[in-house]
Amino acid sequence: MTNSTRNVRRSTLINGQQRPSPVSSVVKLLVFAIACTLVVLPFAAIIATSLAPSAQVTAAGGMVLWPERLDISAYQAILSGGVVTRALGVSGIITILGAVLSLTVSSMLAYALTRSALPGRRAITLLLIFSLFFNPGIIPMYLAVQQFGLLDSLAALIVPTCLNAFNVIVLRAFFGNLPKDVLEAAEIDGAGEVTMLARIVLPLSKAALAVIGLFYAVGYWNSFFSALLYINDPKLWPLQLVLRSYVTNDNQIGTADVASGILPAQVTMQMAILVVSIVPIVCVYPFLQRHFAKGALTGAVKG
Amino acid sequence: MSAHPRHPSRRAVLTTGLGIAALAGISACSSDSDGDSSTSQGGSGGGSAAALPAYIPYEGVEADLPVQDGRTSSGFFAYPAGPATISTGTPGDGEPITAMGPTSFALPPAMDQNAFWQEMNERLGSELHITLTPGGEYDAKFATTVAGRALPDFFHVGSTQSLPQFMASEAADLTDFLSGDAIADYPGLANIPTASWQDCIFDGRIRAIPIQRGLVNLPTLFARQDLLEAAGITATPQNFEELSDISKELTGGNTWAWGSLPLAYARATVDVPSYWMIVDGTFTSTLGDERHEQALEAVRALQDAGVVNPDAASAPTSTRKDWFGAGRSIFHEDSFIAWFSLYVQHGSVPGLNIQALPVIGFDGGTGTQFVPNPNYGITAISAGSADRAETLLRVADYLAAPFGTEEYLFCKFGIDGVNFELEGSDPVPTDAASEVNIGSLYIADAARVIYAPNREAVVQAAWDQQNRVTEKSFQDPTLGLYSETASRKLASLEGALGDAELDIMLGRRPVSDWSAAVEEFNAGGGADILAEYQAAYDELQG
Amino acid sequence: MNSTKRAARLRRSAPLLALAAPGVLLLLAFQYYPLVGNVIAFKDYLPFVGVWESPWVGLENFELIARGDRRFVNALTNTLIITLVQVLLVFPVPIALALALNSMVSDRIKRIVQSVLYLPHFLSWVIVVAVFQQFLGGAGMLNNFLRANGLDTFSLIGNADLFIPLVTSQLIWKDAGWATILFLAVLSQVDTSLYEASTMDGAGRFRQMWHITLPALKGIVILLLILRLGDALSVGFEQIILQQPAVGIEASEVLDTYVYNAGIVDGSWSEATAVGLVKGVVSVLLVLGANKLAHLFGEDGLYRS
Repeated sequence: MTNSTRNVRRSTLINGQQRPSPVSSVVKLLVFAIACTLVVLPFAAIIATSLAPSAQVTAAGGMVLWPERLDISAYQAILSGGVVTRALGVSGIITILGAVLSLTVSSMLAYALTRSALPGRRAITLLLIFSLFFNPGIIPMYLAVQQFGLLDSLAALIVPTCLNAFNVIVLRAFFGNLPKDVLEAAEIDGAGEVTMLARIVLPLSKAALAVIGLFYAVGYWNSFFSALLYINDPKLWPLQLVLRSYVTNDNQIGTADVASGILPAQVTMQMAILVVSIVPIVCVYPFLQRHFAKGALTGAVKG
Repeated sequence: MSAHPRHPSRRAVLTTGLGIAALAGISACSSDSDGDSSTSQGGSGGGSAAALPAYIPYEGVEADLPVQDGRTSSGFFAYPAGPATISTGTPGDGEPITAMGPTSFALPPAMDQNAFWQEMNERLGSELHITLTPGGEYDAKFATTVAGRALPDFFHVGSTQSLPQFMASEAADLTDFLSGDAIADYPGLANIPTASWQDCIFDGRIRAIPIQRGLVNLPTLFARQDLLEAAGITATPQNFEELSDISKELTGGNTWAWGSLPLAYARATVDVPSYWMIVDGTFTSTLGDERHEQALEAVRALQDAGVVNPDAASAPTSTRKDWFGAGRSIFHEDSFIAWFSLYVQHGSVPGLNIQALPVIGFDGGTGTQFVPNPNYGITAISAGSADRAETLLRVADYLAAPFGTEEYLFCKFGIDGVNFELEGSDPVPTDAASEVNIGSLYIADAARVIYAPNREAVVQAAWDQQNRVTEKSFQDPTLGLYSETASRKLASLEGALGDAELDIMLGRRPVSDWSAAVEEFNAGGGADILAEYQAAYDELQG
Repeated sequence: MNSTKRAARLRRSAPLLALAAPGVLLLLAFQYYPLVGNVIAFKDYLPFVGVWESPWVGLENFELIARGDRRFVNALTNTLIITLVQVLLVFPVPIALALALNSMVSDRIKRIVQSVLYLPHFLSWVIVVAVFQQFLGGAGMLNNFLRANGLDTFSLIGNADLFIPLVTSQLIWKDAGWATILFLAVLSQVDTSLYEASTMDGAGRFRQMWHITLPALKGIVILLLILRLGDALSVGFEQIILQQPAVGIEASEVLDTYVYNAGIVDGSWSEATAVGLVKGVVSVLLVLGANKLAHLFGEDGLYRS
């Protein structure tokens, strides 16, 4: 392909693809519009309910579509006392450190698995795959974490879940699909394995790294169960675990004669908690989105 | 599951969003077919059986409405003015004290930012380190901590199989400190009625202290009296048919008389409020009794008549409370104690008037109220901390200070001027009230009373309700008894029976299927459980 | 020649081993080492007694799945039907969405749609079920509206006949948008010059999709399909058990809920582990079989042998 031929038809193409017909564009837009409405409506209700006054929520007997007036008392209740703010920090640290560490370890392993020179390649692959289907169970996991001396430390929230076999397998598939000629060229130039990974494979796999990084980050962000089991010091509790304590409602304990303070309606609290817990991680997405842009590879391969 | 730690139904656990993760880690299952392990373990004496702790009620305050053993809790219209301090010195030994328990409150501020917590440490003379776990997940936390041999000084006893062996191996023997009149040294613990201590005896030894609830645990049917009156219904229904007629009157548009399928209430109206009963010293199952079918039939008829909310079967309790508050349901089944929290939760509803219905007889007269286990759960002192048992019991005693004392006010409401402010003699929580939720009340708690500030009428009505329904009532016969098969199978057996009940009430299966479900229950372990309870009961009597 | 090749190979294997080591060690330490604890499947395990001190009971804990009674068979049947429905109806949705998004003219619309559709993934099943109930339940917003206007209500939730469509639509709602991310990443790696070349050759949109786009996706699709097949015995435990009361056991019992209802609820660690082991073995056999099948069709599958 020469530059001149490329330019000739560019106007009719999107990233090289033929422009879709107007009819199919309209159909697609319609489908997307419906799909988005189906998603947006419940989310609007979640946000509206979190901001609605308790009286309105009680009268509606559940969620509302529009708050009569803005009432942020649920958010005040959650954010007062500094507990949630600190937990946000803990979750942030775990998520960032965890995702970086996971991504590093996983890409190293995934890359090694694409190379035929790796001894025991098949055995390691099988180990990975089998681990997807056998769950050690919570007690053996706890005992292992205890034996490695990780209890009551942030490491307990990162290290045991650091490697996700599914993510490694997917990453390996991405790496394996890179054009062979680029790697072979580098090999002939005398590049070592580490150089090839750092200089060629990773830069060419930004989309894959963004996706797997997101998978890991979301996993760390949402995890609360390892904290529940491994962390006794509430100062190290991540957000999801702290928020969980706001929605437990047990009659048997009965709060009438205890000074727990008066919280807004249960549903309102629940929805506010939902908003607080998903907004930060949702904000990450747009930053990753640009890595999904098409044609990331084109220049590198041909250029 | 034994009569021990109270567990909400499996779906109640799930629908509050809890418990799931515990399972995710397991991914599957259980049952024990050959019944090897079916010998009764409860109260098998051998040695000298401990005398239950004496009940020495606190006499420093006079209740507005008196406590009557087995009939009523005491009732207070206001917190006693100028509450007395009953403790002397500090109970602690200067060393930190560790504890773990479930909680259903939002996490409190950390110790260094929590004035209440610091004051508590000061008063106890020991630093209190409590590990809290959201209630629904406590069993997972408990099991892993046990497996890791990491139990703290105090622990709330979570769900476990073979409870007597567990307690014998992991819990300190408290008999010498608490048995009989020895408990007089601990006035807070002595204020807990004797019945609650039956749960704490294992192999004849006292190995735990109860978190007492007493009669505020009663299953109760609430009604929106304001809405009944608005609909012109002033007379209390006299039998189930009248209740059903009223229900039809109250249903219309997007309102249904019932937010749940009232099987528990229906069973109380036909006098079989429990699966087990003791008749003339014999442990019997009521499941074969045709009155169960009558109750199922009655609820099924309500469902057929369209007076039950169409989402009743799957709605979580919090949603049902919302329906009740919004007037979308008129009748609401809940625990007695919810009376007050419902008022608090729905404070914005104008003219809100919640009353409890008496337990009516199906064909008139009076039905039978079920009186459940009087405890929320039990707390043990770790066997490894047995040498500190006396100190730890003094701390527990402090935390269990009776209603009407200065210590109670502190333990439940915090520091005057910080966590609460006095309005008259009643504490009113401030914004810093959440500091109090450090979980100390899951280590030890005072005997419960009926008290709600500024709600004299409700306190009176609540006390009257207890007095009325306990006249013809029926105590959970498994209290203080242990069956190993129950601990290993009862939850799944009851689950299967519950599924059958639901299918029948919703019209998915005929009422005649009930007897087959009962047979399955008995064959699957129900019969063994009955025999084990009988043996345990005989042992306790003999 | 041969020996120098071998030497070159050795020079490469050392750094490769070093690269693989951290991951492999983590795998051994936190997957395979604790997995040894699964011996409790053959014991009557009580946490306070300890893994090694608990008595052996042979295969007793496997009885729950071995007895194969009517309820078990019902659960297995429901599970396999739901798996089949999900593979046929749920699995292709994100692929179709990704293809549609990929061919969007407007980058802005594409980004907005993407950002909206992936949101529901962040809701837990408890919330998703509650939201469906609030909107579509018998006393939900839609039916309340219909009732208030004297119209017939429609019952999707709490209707045993529509249970599978219900859980299927919930699953699509929750995760289809999220799952497109992976496919979009794959599509972003397609060399755009391939399209340009084919356009020069006069290929239309459908031929481009058939000859360039789909082949690019083939590898990842087969990989995910094989992994999904390995999970054939697991279908949305949390999602389903939350909704069981509404429709009854007959319509909604799947393998995981059966095992939960019949045993786990009693807190037996040993039986839970036993069932986990059996499911693991079945899954591995399914995956290996599916992988073989993929090889027969000339595909790479999960790994090359």
